[in-house]
Formats: sequence, structure tokens, C-alpha cells
Amino acid sequence: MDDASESSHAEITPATSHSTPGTAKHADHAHGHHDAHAHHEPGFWGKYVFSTDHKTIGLQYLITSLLFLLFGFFMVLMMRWSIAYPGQPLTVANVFHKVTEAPSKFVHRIGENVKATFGYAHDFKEKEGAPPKPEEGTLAEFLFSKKNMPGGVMQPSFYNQLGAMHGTIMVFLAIVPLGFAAFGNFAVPLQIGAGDMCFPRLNMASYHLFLWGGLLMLFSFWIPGNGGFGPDGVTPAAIAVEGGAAQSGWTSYPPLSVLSNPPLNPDSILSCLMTGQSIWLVAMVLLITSSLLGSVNFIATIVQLRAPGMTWMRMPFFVWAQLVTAFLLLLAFPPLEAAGIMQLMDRVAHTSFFMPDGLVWENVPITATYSGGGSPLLYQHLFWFLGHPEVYVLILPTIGAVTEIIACNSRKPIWGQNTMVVGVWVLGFLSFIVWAHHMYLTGMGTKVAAFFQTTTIIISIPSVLILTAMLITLWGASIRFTVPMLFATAFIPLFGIGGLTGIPLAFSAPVLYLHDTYYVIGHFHYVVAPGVITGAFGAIYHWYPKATGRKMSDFLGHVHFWPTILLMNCVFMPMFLQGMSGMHRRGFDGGASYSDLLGGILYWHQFITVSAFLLLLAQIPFIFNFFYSIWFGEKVSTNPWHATTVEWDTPSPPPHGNFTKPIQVYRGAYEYSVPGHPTDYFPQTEPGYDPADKFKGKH
Amino acid sequence: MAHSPSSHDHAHDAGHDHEQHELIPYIVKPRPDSGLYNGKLGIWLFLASEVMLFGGLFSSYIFLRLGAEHWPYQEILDIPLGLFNTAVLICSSITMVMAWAAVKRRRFGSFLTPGTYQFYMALTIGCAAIFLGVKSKEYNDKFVHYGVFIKKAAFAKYEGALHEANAGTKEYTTIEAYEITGHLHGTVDRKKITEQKFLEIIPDAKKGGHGHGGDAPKEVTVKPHGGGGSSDHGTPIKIDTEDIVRWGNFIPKYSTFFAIYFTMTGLHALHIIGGMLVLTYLATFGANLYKENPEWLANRVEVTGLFWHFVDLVWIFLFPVLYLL
Amino acid sequence: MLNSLLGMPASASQHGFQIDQMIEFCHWFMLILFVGWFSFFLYLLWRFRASRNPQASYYGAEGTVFKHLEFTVVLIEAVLLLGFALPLWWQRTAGFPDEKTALQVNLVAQAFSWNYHYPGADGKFGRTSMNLVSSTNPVGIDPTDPAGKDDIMTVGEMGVPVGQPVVLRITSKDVIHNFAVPEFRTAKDAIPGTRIPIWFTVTRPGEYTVICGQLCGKSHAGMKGLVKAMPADEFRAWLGEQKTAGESLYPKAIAQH
Ligand code: HEA
Ligand code: HEA
Ligand code: CUA
Ligand SMILES: [Cu+2]
Repeated sequence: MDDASESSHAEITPATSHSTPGTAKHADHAHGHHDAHAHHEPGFWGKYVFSTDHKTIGLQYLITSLLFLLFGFFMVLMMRWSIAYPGQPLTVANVFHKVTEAPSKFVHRIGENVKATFGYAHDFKEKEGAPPKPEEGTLAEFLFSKKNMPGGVMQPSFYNQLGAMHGTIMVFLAIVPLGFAAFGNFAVPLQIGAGDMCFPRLNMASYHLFLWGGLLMLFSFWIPGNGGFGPDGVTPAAIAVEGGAAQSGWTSYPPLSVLSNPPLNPDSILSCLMTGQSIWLVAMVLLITSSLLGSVNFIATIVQLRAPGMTWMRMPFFVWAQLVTAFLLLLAFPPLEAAGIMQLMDRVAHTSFFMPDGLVWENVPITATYSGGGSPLLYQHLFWFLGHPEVYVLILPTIGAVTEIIACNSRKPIWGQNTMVVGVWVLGFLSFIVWAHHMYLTGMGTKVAAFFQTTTIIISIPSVLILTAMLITLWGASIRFTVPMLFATAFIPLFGIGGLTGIPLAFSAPVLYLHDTYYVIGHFHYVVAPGVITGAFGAIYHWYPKATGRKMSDFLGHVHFWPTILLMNCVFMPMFLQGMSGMHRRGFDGGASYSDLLGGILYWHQFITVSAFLLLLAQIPFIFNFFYSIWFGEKVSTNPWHATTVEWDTPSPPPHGNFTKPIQVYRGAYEYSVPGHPTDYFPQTEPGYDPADKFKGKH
Repeated sequence: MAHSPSSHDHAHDAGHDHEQHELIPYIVKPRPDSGLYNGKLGIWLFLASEVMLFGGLFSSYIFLRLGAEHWPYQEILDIPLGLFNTAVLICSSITMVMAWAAVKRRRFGSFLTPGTYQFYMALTIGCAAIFLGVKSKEYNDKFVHYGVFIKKAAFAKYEGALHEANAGTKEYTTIEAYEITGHLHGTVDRKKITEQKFLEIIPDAKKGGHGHGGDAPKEVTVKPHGGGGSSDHGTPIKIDTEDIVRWGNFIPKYSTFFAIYFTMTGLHALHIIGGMLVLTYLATFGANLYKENPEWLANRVEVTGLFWHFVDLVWIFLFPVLYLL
Repeated sequence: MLNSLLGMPASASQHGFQIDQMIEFCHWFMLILFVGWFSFFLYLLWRFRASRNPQASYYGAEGTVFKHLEFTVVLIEAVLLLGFALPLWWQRTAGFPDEKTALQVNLVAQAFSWNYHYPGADGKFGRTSMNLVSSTNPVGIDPTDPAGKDDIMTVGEMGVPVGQPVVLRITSKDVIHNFAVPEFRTAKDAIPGTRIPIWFTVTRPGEYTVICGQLCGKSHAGMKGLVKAMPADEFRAWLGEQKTAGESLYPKAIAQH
């Protein structure tokens, strides 16, 4: 125990601090007015919309980010349709047809594969009838206009819009707010025994910036154009304005991002702003501001508001992970903000920060020559300086939550908790110096590449360390396979696959082959989709009882778990094969134009797409369970999982102010199965000895 | 928004404040182990993020400049005005500290009583206003100032007239051109000028400055030359558009230097404006807190002061980088 | 072996097998780690399930096996880095072949096609400028430069001799593209404002697909090119068949003047 914590005993608990000697002098006035003000009930708006209570804000974040997750999923389903069945109309009936005929086709395919393996004649060509013709008045056409989905057939530029928005929404509007903001807001103050976040009003502002930034981004799909690229596809960019959302990928590399989504009137600032890419940039600035407020708040809360006795090393690992994540957001996002501002200048004020001299579009020079020249690479550096820390922002909260779940359900302390804490800091630090491994093919020289390859390889070491510690925790455990635990255990190997496939990508030589193929898509989806999403599901099932006072149904949980895990693998595993065959990303036709090179692997498109549609169906039990259990779930006590951390020592759901009694922490976060203790869990707040002292050296 | 570090973490209505005060300790008193009260830690974190923001922009400046084909000569910005503004900001930082010290010594006073809190706050806000005023004058100058790059091959045509006018002429080797700067005479409309096929410029006089680094332009002496018509000081010189490589006023669009100049100073000015709003609040409505809890007010002033010093510091970097280097 | 199982097309360049080797090595490494970890993981789940092991141990695993394992992982990664990755990259980015032995070609990518520029018989590239680009002059050869007279421009199709190193200098006129030829195990971004060289030696005659590996707009997916690898004499004949800039450009340019 460090002496810092000793001194914090001076203030008993946040909930009663105004009467402690330390603050009494200047907080006295607060006491005086206390009765008059403190107990007034906020109305509907104050309670649900403009709430400053961290639990409410956490739930707001949860619902919003899950909805964005669903939107992102819908978008990618439309894309998957185009990849597997390019040129075919997307209608409910067609989807139903493809999904139902898939099993028999799959069996047939396996037969052909087996034949081919043993050298018999085989047939890799799909026996499609004449492709269905565009259909009038499909739902897709109605929702996304004739320009984007004429007759239900996806246009390439609309595919690009969906791609950019899928990436952006999933990363910035779904997973970050889910892992960092939703779980963090809900659990961090509870876990450290604080009454609320340090700056409640900032917290509310943060959520609203996020919400409006996100809605703004979605809204950009419906920005009008003037007819767009003609069907000839040759109408020059200077005249044709497509409208619609950003379409330069979630990375928004200039010059493409500056040239695409042209404004109706380049001389008008308003018109320049009312284009998909500009709105993307403005929305990003809002989101960055939101996460800036959030991260300041998290760090301040963790540093300032830990309850007496909650020393640094007694903090749950989840809180550590959130702390590191907050630092990553705090320090990595601003350079992207700078890049966003500069790109916005390029689009609106027609500067050339990222536009080199002498660009030619459709054989017509397009930039003001001799502006002094800008650099497209500058943007890439600024983007990936954020981009790489960002991927750890995606994963760390989930790793933290999974650690909680594993400790609780294996009924034993986390193995090597201190090592994990060190590991997560090293990970956070190193993530700032690996960014250029996304840029190996931009003309990088030997020395620079050597530096970034080395750092990238080094960063895999703490990851392996953390994952190994989780794994070893299971040794000697008494594993309860609750639903959260199922998801947490699934997380480990799935993240493992994603992480391990990062290793060939870390070296510049294999990247000569693998760059921007579906191998990369497979790599990062394994970490963010099967990895982070399963971990997040686990966290939802885990903390749901605390938030609502009821448990989600176990039966539905199982019905959700097994198909989800199976189908996630069906969706993403074949992507490695496709990538290894040379299939590149961001093609609306899934590489059909170079099918001679790709050969048999094109077939996997349909397998993946059908699996993805089935994956959507597999979420129905979850969505149902989620809402049903709010009202009809099994009622639970304060501590249904018999867990040790502080959040389980308050009613479910916790009242405003979080705790009904002063919180004093006596021991580390994971004192399960302590020898000699009557129960197999020894809560942090239960008065008594600290096993760490008693079993010193034996641990 | 993000620029009002001290107003968002505290409540406006008293009722809410007190409720928060119960839930959240260390709003006024520092936490013993961290030695900081909440707002101070918050502002330090916020400033760390700001350092990364401006750090990103300064790095971009270096990156762009190293890769640029050419970069304008240094006298293109008004150094005396910049220097004046630097001094103004430093003064405002000092008065900011004085304001904080005044609350600490419980000298609230009024706007007109020297040596008191409100007095120093008024001075600080005044300095900020002067800064912005000077800055907008500088901006305005840029909009009406033009640079014309004359093709080397055609330069002889104008040499005589330029010499008469004692025009400062800069040579750019990479783009094979001479630049003269000045104010346009007659129309400034790009379309009209393209149609009439010439523009008229009253050139700036020679300054005798020197270039700096890499391919920086150097001032060249214009030889008297037969040909071009003679012109008095201040007389416009007519230049045919076909002899021009490019021309434009000193706005972001026409030069990467001005692009980064406007972006960085603009963002800095936004910070000044944000700071002014907070200062004004603290000097007026926010000052009511003094009666209830002067220490709390002192904290808010300190936090705002930290932000203010940071904004000052950014300018202290901006000035040499943009004006002098 | 893993590579072909995973569906990698056969390599057609001299350095290709090194890349393949490295990818193969990585995959074995990953496979062994994964299988090891995964089986251990499954064993743990089975062995320590609550019904079989109702009382968890407070102390957990002991011993140094995991330290050794971690160390082995680090060691193998270091071997991969120092033994394979760095030398290979050095070879690709700093070990360029001699100017004289190699065929020099410039590549100007554009949305959505590939324009190649051969120096012609004199081995010298004519001056180019983006201002001169037009549909008949895709790389912007300056007709006032005599060195460009015998230059050759091809669109969409690149001929290369088998067995002779090719140095390709890549740039773009508009947005960023990526010249990727999977069978050559090579790829590089085409970034406007820069000119990035790559080199490779083709080992088998044949036609190879060029894929655009960087999102570049609506027809990105269709931005496909062709590399025709031919034996040296066939290549010379092919080059001879192409129009020189002198034929296609210079007369017209002079006529226009
Ligand atoms: C959460 C997200 C996340 C995470 C954690 C990672 C982790 C890693 N990533 Fe990934 N990456 C992305 C998200 C992520 N990445 C994204 C989104 C992109 C693409 C962006 C784009 O272009 O659009 C990308 C792209 C990307 C590239 C660029 C590829 C290219 O474009 O050419 C590279 C190259 O080095 C790379 C490397 C790595 C490495 C070395 C790790 C390492 O940190 C991994 C370390 C982990 C391990 C080594 C696993 C250890 C596992 C175990 C010990 C458990 C085993 C247990 C059992 C089996 C039971 N990644
Ligand atoms: C965190 C990030 C994240 C996540 C989670 C996902 C999830 C998925 N992604 Fe995505 N993807 C990206 C980030 C992500 N992706 C990025 C950055 C790109 C690159 C974009 C670019 O090229 O610029 C990309 C690109 C990308 C492509 C390549 C497109 C191309 O290159 O042309 C494909 C192709 O199949 C794909 C598929 C999928 C699929 C099938 C999922 C599925 O796993 C989705 C699974 C979703 C769910 C299972 C949803 C569950 C939701 C609920 C249960 C909601 C419940 C609601 C309530 C209770 C209210 N993605
Ligand atoms: Cu060119 Cu993609
Ligand atoms: Cu990365």
C-alpha cells in the first residue's frame, strides 16, 4: 500500500465529504442550502436527456452506440450483397432466395472442392441463370434514391459511401463509444467508489457532442447533388455533383477526399460545407471534442475520486485499461483534429495543404499551380498517428472488461495482475510510435521502415503478455460457464487470431503482397468484430444486472452465443484465403474484374455474405433479450455474480450518488477463493484484513 | 465549448452546485495525494491535448515547408505589429496572474480600482481585445495585398517601370519567375482581369531584406532598361496576364504559407476569443461566487489563467515561426 | 506449402520466393502458436470447469514455462525481423540494379488507368510536365525536348523482358493509386507529387494482372492493368511495334505551333 492512499483516508467518502473536516470550511455553505436544493426531482428531460448522472450517461452511450453498431452492420450487409452478387438487385425476396439456396450450393461446392483436390474434373464456375434484371420500386431504391441504387442495383460510388461510413461508424460511433464511453461511464466511478464522474456537466456535453456528430454524419447520406456522374461515367468531376456521404474510405486519404464529393458551387463556403466529405470532417471534429472531454473526465475521475483505501494497485484492471485508453484518446486525437481542420481548409478555402502541385483530372489541370505545394503524405502521417492508438482504444476497454469477467467466473485472482498493468501501459506508450506500419508502401526507405517494423514487433509482446496472463488465470480455476464467461472465453482465441495475423503485416516485405488485401480486412475484423464485439457482449451480460436490477435470460444468451461465434468465423475466416489469393479491398464487385487471377476463391464471397445475413438473424435473440429483460428478467440481488469489486456493493440499479454508505476499500480487486475465508469471494469493501499482506510472497 | 475550461465543470445554478459538491470532493481543496483540485488536473490534461493539437500543426508546418517548392520571404508579414502583439499578450498574462493574486489576497474591488481583482480582469480582457484588433488589421492587410509572379522570359518588358518605382522584386528559381507585391489598381476581379488580359499594380518599395534557407527567393536589383514606360512612385504598372505565372492576394488559397499562417493564427485567435468569454464571465456574473466562496473563485481564476498562459505561450512560438523564420 | 494451401498464386518474379518464404515462415509460426495456445486453452476450460474443480486455487499457476514461452516468441520474432524482414526490405528499397543492366520505365497512374513511359532507343527519358498532359499525351512529354522523340508511351499495358531487371518509377497525376501485381509479390503507392521507384525481375513469360490497391474513386474496382512478360527478343519486337512519341506527338505538336 502506498502512502498516498493513506492520506486519502482523511476524507471518508465522496458521499459525505462535505462534512469532513478537510473540506468543511469552504463547503459549509453547501451544507446550509442542502435541504432546499439537493432533493428536487429532475423532470423527464433532466433525467433521461440532459442527465449528468454517469450511469444514465453510460446507458445513453450504450443504446446510441448499439444502434450505430446496428446501422454499421446494415451498411456492411448491403456492401456484402454487392460483393457477392454484383449487379443484382438487392431486394428482400432476392436475399431470402440466396440465403435459402445457400446450403445446397455449399454442399455442392464442397463436393467440387474434394474432387479438385483429388485431381478429378471439377467445376468452379457458378451455374447462375441469367442475372436478375433491375427491379422497379425496390425498398433500397426508395431509401437510397435512384441515383445510388437504380432498380435496387448498387452503384460503385454508393458502395464507396457505404464503405467509408461503415468504417467510420463502426470505429468512431459504435465501438469507441461502446467500450470506452458506455462501459467506462457506467462502471469506472462505481468500481473506484466515486459518487459520480469528476465533471458531470462535461460528461453530458461529451455525450451530446457525440450524438449530434453521429447524426450529422448519418445525415450526410442524403445530401443532394445535381444528378451525379452520368451513366457514361465520364462527366467531368468539375460539373457532376453526386451528393451523398463521404466516399474516400474511413481513412479519407487526400487528394481523393479533397476531390470527391465536389460542391455544387465551389465559390460558396456554405456549398463547400454541405458536401459529404466536409460534413464527415465537421462531424469528426465534434466527435474528437466529445472524446477529448470524455478522456479528461475519466483521467481526472480516476486520479481524484478513488475512495479511501482504493490504492492504485487495488484498482480493477478494467479501470487501468480505461485510464490508458483515456490517455490515448487525449493525446492521439488532436493531431487528427489538426489534419481534419487542414483538410476542411483544402475543401472549403481551396488551400493545398494536402494537394501537390500539378494535379490533372480528366486531362485538365485542377490545382492552382505554384501554390507552394502540399503533401498527401502529411495527412497520412497525421491520420495514422491517431489511427494506430485508436485501434488500441478499440481493444483496451474490452480487454479490461474481459479480465473482470474471467476473474469473477474463474473464481480466482488474475494471474500476474501487476504484469498486466505494466503491459497495458507499455502497449499504450508504444502505440504512439508504430503508426507508419500502415504506410510501408508509400515509398518508405530502409531506415524508417526498420524503425517501424521493430516497434511494431515489440508492441506485440505486451499483447501476448496480457493474453497469456488471461489464459494462465484459468489454471487452477473453477470455471462457471455463465453467459458473460462464454463470451469472454470466446474473446481470447478470436482476438488471438486477429493479433497473430497482425504479425506478417508488421513486416514490410510480406506487406508487399498483403497490403490492402482481404488479409488485412480479416486481420482487423478478427480483432474488432469477433474480438471486441464478443467481449462487449460479455460486458453487457455482465453489468446488465447492475444497471437494471434484472438478469438477461440465460437461455436466450446461449441461443445468441453459439450461432454468433460460429457465424463470425464463417464471415471472417475465408477472408484470409481471399486475401492470400490477392483479392484487394474496397472493390464493389469483390474482384470480379480480375477473376482470372482469383479463381475459385470468388465463391467464398457468397458464403461470407450468406453467413453475414445469418449473423444478423443471430442477433435477434440478443435484441429481444436486451429489451425483454428490462421489464421481465429475473430479479437479482446486489451481487448476483458473487463478485469482489466495489460496484457490486450497492443496490442494483445504484441510486443517484451511487452508494448508500461510505465506501472504504480494504484489499485488491480480485480476492477470490482466499484460503480460510468462508466464501469464495472477499469483496473489496468488506471490513477485514488484506490477503496481499497475509499471503505476501506466496502469490 | 472546449475553450471554456472553468465554466463547464461548475454549475451555474446554486442548487446543482451543492448537489455536486456532495457527490464530488476536491472541487475546492486539493486532494492530498495528487496535490491538485479537480479543475486544475482537468485543465492540465486539457492543455496536454492542446499541446498535441498545436504540436500537430507545428509539425505540419515543418513538413510542408521542407517539402515546399518555394516559400515566401520573411518580410511578407508585419513584424512590428507582430512584436507589438506579443508584448500585449505577455502583459495580459501578467495581469492575469495579478487578478488571481488579488482574489487570493481577497481584494475584490471594482473595475476602476487599481490593484483589485476586477481591475486586473478588465485589463486582461482589454489586452485580449487589443490583440484581436491588431490581428484583424493584419488579416485585413493580407486580403488587399497582392503578389504577382512575372515570367522570367517576359520580365525585361517591365524592368524599367519597376526600377522607376523602386519596386522590391524577388526571384524564384524553381518556378522561373520574379515576384512583385503591392496593391492592385482598378479592378481586382479575377474574371474581369482575365477578360481584359492585364492587371495594374502599385508595387511595394524595396526593403533590402534577405531570403532564408533552401530555395528562398532573393531580392534582385532591377536594372534600368529601355522599353517599359516610366512611372512615378505610386503609379500603377500595367502587366499583361500572359506574362504572369500566377497572381493573387495573400489569402490561404494562393499560397501554402498563407494557408498555414491563417489556419494557425486563426485557431489561436479562436482560443483567445474563448478565453475572453470565460474571463468576462468570471469578471462579472461568475464573480458573485466571491461572496460565497472566494477560494473557489480563486481556483477558477487560476484554472483560466493556466489556459491563458498556454494561449500566450502558443503565440510566443507562433510569432518567430511565422514572422521571423 | 501453407502458402499454396491458402491459395497464393505462384510467384513469377525473382525475389518472389523470398517473400513467399517469409509469409510461409510467419504462418507456420502463427499456426504453431495458435494450435499450442488453443489446445492448452481448451484443456484448461475442460480441466478447470466448475463441476470438475469446484474449489479454485488462490495461488494459480506457478513455474517459469510461460516466461520461456514468451522468450521464445520474442526470439522467433527477432529472427523474422533481423533475418528476413530487414534484409529483404533493404534489397527492395536500396539494392537497385545497375542503371545500364535494368530496363527503366516510368509509370504515371491516373483515374482509372496506367500510363507507362519507356525511354526509347537512346535510353533517355524526354522531359515531362503535367501541364502538357492530354488524352493523346498521357504522361505529358514535352515535344520541345529532342530526348523525348524516341520515347514510347503505352496505356494499360506494360511489356517487360523476362530475366532482365525492371526499374519502375511510379507517380500519379491525380489521386493515390497502388500498383500491385500479386504474382510479382510487389506493390507500391502511386502518389502525386512523388516518384517512387520499385524493381523486380520477371522469371516466367506470361500475362499478369495489375490491380489498383488504393481506393481512388468510383471505378477503383475496375482499374486493372496488364503486364506482358516476354523473352528478350520478343520484348524488343513488341517495343518496336509501339508508336514512338515522335510519331504520335511531335508532328502534331509542330503542326499546332
Ligand atoms: C483493435 C484493433 C486492432 C488491434 C488490436 C491490432 C493489432 C495489431 N495490428 Fe492491426 N489493424 C487494425 C486494427 C487492429 N490491429 C486495423 C483497423 C487495421 C487496418 C486499417 C485500415 O487500413 O483500414 C490494421 C492494420 C494493420 C497493419 C497494416 C496492414 C496494411 O495495411 O498493410 C499492420 C501492419 O503492421 C497491423 C499490425 C498489427 C499488429 C502487429 C498488432 C499487434 O498488436 C497484435 C498483437 C497480438 C498478438 C500477437 C496476439 C497474441 C494472442 C495470444 C497470445 C492469444 C492466443 C490465445 C489463444 C489462441 C487461446 N495492423
Ligand atoms: C470497429 C470496427 C468494425 C466492426 C465492428 C466491423 C464489423 C463488420 N465488418 Fe467491417 N470494417 C471496418 C470496421 C469494422 N467492421 C473498417 C474500419 C473497414 C474499412 C473501411 C474502409 O475501407 O474504409 C471495414 C470494412 C469492411 C469490409 C470490407 C469492405 C471493402 O473493403 O470493400 C467488410 C466486408 O465484408 C466488412 C464486414 C464487416 C462485417 C460483416 C462486420 C460484422 O462483424 C458486423 C457484426 C455486427 C453485429 C454483430 C452487430 C450487432 C448489433 C447489435 C446486436 C445491436 C443491438 C442493438 C440494440 C440492443 C439496440 N467490413
Ligand atoms: Cu486506382 Cu484504385
Ligand atoms: Cu496499426
